[in-house]
Amino acid sequence: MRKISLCAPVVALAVLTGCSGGGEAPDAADRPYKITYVQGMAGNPFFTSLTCGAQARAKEKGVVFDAQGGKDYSPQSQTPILNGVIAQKPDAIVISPMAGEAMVPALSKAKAAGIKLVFADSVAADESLAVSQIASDNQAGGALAAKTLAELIGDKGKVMVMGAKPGISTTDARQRGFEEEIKKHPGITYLGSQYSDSQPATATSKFGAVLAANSDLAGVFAVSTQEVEGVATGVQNAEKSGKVRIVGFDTSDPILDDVRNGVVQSLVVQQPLQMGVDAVDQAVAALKGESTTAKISTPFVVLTKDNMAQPDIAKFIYKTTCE
Amino acid sequence: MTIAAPAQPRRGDAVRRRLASSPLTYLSLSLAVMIVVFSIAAPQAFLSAYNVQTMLTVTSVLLVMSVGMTFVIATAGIDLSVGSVLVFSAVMSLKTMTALGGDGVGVVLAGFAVAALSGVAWGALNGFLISKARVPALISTLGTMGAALGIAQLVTGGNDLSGVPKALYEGIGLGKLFGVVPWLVVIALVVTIAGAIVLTQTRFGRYTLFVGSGPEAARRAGINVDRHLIKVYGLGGLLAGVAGFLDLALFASANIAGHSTDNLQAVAAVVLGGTSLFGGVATIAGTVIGVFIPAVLQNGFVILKVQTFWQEVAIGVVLVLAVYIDQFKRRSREKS
Repeated sequence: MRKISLCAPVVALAVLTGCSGGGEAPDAADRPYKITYVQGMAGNPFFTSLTCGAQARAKEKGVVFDAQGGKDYSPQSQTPILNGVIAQKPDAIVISPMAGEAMVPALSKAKAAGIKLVFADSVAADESLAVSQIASDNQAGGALAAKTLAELIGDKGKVMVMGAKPGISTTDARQRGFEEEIKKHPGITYLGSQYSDSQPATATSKFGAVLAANSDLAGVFAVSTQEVEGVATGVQNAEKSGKVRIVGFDTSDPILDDVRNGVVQSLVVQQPLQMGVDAVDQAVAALKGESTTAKISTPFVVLTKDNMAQPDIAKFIYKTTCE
Repeated sequence: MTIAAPAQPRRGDAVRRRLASSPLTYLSLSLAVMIVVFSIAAPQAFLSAYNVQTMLTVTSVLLVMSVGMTFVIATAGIDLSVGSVLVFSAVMSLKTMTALGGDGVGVVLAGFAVAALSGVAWGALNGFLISKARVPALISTLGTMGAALGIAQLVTGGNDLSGVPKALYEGIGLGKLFGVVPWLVVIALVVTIAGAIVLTQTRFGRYTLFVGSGPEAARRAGINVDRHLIKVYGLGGLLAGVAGFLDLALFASANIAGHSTDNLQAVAAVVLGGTSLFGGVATIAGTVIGVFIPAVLQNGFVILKVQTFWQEVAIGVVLVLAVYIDQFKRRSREKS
């Protein structure tokens, strides 16, 4: 009965939400475990993929699973969602928390209520709250982007970063990783960063201005999907496809088109599906009183036009819906 | 809408005074000064064909939206929903074109019709809520802002859409008239000139300003104010829909999250252009300048390598300063 009452309203609320049937719980004594995933935000392919991975794993393990997310990537949106989930008393919460202190009070409340916490993709300031943290190291991802871009431009020329908004921990870390790595390439001149304010049109116009001032610009690292879409438009307007190389981060349908058309050369792709699988595994282990892994780091994949059709790479393309 | 200066003995004097008292003169002058300064500081970059083309192209979308916003603000109203209506229209238009399939002119025209109709529908709803249901514009359009974006997110699951027909993004988005003037700029120019003619030369334009200066007086003069407001917000919605279509052409995708500040950018451009937030006074030429002052500043600052956080500060200061000078001149004009 409880299972139905938990699932039904959520289905009515959000299209994205996956409510698995639960099935028989082979391990739990009397009832299946309930795990809820609190997304970084709803309707984002990255978090959708993480949800898909977790949902599939939960089904295998006979765990009742659902997922919810706020309308944007901010503590103001995530806090009420998390509080609502705590009120439903799941056994464990998997969460992609906003970085810093903002989510710590609500997370502490969850822990005090005896709910096991697993952090996926990002971590909150108080790491002791979670039984396990699963994340890709965004700084390492930025460094990988720098190496990829350096290789594309033959280790010489001018490069820039198109950043999102200053103050977002993940994109800031990518930029930091890029800047530290690019310094190690003496042939490359780093022109600094511009910020798009997460608006593709702003990314296009600022990229255009940088290109106007540096007609020999060789490459751009665009830190997330909005910036990749904006810079790709700028490069096409300049008729510089393939001449100004773009390395992006994460995937979306329009960007994959740009990769196919040779406008964007490489994408650093994370493995959110695997994060979802690991998160459910860790949560179940904690609930059973087994040992958990404190930190799991998921690796990156570099997607290019040449390898994007290969099954072992294509499986990392983010999903917009779970099949 | 400059008020004619009092009659002067000599004709040349009158023209000079009229020019000096027009707020547009000072704004155009500010813009001209910025362009000259940037041109001298970085002639090769700032004046390069590519830079001018890119700046004009990206600004076209905002300009089309701002022309509609000028009419809305001229009635002493406001429309916060334009960015969301843009996204909604772009999504509906792209969904239609994808469903029809193919790459023909017919598909693109159908997409345009859907974008325009989606915009008109939301605009007319805004107008209805404001005039008939008497919900203040700030609240009605805040409501439709959330609703339009929400529906667009429901339809797409929050994901950016691809699949814009090649004819649209290669023809209009990347194409140029005579190989020089981007089509998006041509379209924005046509919309702007049409808007200026409608505002100054037609009964619709006169009614708009009349309603803005005093709805009660307009009503007593026999204008159907409610119906006129629905038309004005419908026009604002229409142009947001058209902007959505242009955005599809420019970015070859429907971007869901990237238009959250469009409304404020449009309002800022219109007010910077000298249109009164209290209604009754509006010029399209002012709006054009209001759109380009921030665009030129941002472009020039990036070229001159002004540190990125200072760009924000500087643009904010210049905006407030430009409006302050405008107000100052207007007050001294009214006193004299």
